[in-house]
This record gives sequence, structure tokens and C-alpha cells, in this order.
Amino acid sequence: MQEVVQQCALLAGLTLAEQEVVLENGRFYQIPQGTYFFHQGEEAETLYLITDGQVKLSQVNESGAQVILNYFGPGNGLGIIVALSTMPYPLSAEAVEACEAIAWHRDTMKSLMLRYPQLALNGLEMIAGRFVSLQERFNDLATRQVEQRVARALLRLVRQFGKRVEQGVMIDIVLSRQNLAEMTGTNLYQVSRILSKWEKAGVVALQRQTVILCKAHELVVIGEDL
Amino acid sequence: MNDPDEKTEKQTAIRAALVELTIEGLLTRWPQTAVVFHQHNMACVGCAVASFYTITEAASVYGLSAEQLLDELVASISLA
Repeated sequence: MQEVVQQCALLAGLTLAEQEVVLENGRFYQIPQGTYFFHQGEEAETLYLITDGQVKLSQVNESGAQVILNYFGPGNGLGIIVALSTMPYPLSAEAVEACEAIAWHRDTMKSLMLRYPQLALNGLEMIAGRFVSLQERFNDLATRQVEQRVARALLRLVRQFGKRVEQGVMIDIVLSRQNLAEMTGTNLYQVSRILSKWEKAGVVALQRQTVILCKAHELVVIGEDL
Repeated sequence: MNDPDEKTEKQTAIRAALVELTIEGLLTRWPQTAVVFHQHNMACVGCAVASFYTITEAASVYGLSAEQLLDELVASISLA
């Protein structure tokens, strides 16, 4: 946990002593698998730094359709925007597996940010990164075909959660076809069709709960239009 | 100072180090090698799986000779 904390983007550029003060002002937080850090629309007053486990960020619209915005793991922040605005949580954060985190109340984080401007800059940088990645996703949805979008989603996930295995690189999170559909603006049928096609071509190997990229380069070719 | 044997020795050492490295490891340590990948139209720079594959594996994916690619990478590093 210490390593995760020291290398995370939120605390980058702070001295060890400063990091300690920031951490001492937070509280250790544990939640079981399948429960939520927060729900979309709830009043937002706590932000988190994930130190263990995986979190799914999703939104639901009025008709009940779910969209998955992201998966986060150790070192990622949750609800960083809470420190910088007063809006309710814009999405829901579910612990896909049991999670540990450090939690700060908004007011505590705000005063820490005023004390250590680097902390505020780090928060802004994290939000800037999310903003850029959302722009890319928007572009994907507006301009790419479904097959490309699925390839690009897998490549994003492998960058975050990839783990080298004998057959290739495994995406080390629980990832159903339905999840992939909800990440790429399509449906289960389309995702199944595409994955089956790739499996036949030996590009991916489908596991019960995740996907192994056997020929990652082929996916880059599909995703990037090479 | 510029003993040719010494240079060869250094190059051999670099080459031995390269065989073990992932693409990302290589590009982090020697960013100037990016140009070699571009010259071969390889999409390795910034690739999502660059941290999982070695230079030899990348060469094989692109149907290139790993030996030749390693030679070129060593040369680009030694230029500096």
C-alpha cells in the first residue's frame, strides 16, 4: 500500500513529510465486493484514493441503460472533482472486488490543497487527464465503427490492467461481454459476434471472466486503422 | 580514448541489455530509439502493449529480422 501511495499522481511532487500530513488527514476505508463508494446523484463530500482493488465507474440514464465510463485500480483517485466543485457525484463507483482506499472529506482536502498547492495542481492534472480521455472516447463514439471501439476499449484496459501470461496479455479484471458493450456504446450481441470472430482468428482467447489478447498487435491494427 | 575495440565492447553490452528489455523499457531509457521504430513504420511508440512485449517479439510481429532491428537500435543509442 505504501508503494501505491508514494507513486500515485495525487501525491506526486510532495515531500515524504508532506505526503504523511496529507495521509494522516485522511481515513482508511474498506468496502466489500459489490458495494458502492457512492451513487450517481448523491451529495458529494468524500473523495478517495484507491490503494487496493478495482472499481467500476458507471452512469445510468432515465430509461435504465448503463454506461461504463472507466475502471480504476490502485493509485487512481475517485471523486477528485469533489474537492474542486460542489456538484453531486456525477456517476456511481462500484467495488468490483473488495477495495481499500484512503478517504478525505471535501473540506479537509480543500484545506490541504491550500496548504500544499502542489496537491491542488495534481488534482487538476488528474482531472485534465480524465477530460482528455473522455474527449477521445467521445471521438470514438462519434467516428469509429463498433469493431474499432471494442478493440480500442480492450487496448485501454490492457494498458491499465494488463498482465503478461503465456498466451499473451490478460486483462486482469472481471470483464463480461455485457461490460464491454456498456463501455463501447453497443449491445451484447454485437460484442459477442466481434469477440467470437477474433477468437476464431486467434487474436483473443476468451476466458470465463476476462479476455486474453493473444495477438495484441492485430487489435492495434483494427483499433488504430493501421 | 576512441579505441574501436572499446566501442564494440560497449555496443555488445548495450545489445545484451536490449534483449531483456520491453519496448516501453527501451523507449523510456533511450527515447532516441523511437526514430528506428518510425523508420520501419512500427506503431510501437505509445502502443498500449509496449510494456508487455520485447524487441524480439515486436520484430517478429512486423516480420522483421530481430538481429537487424537490434543492430539499428544499438547504433541509434551509440550515436548519442
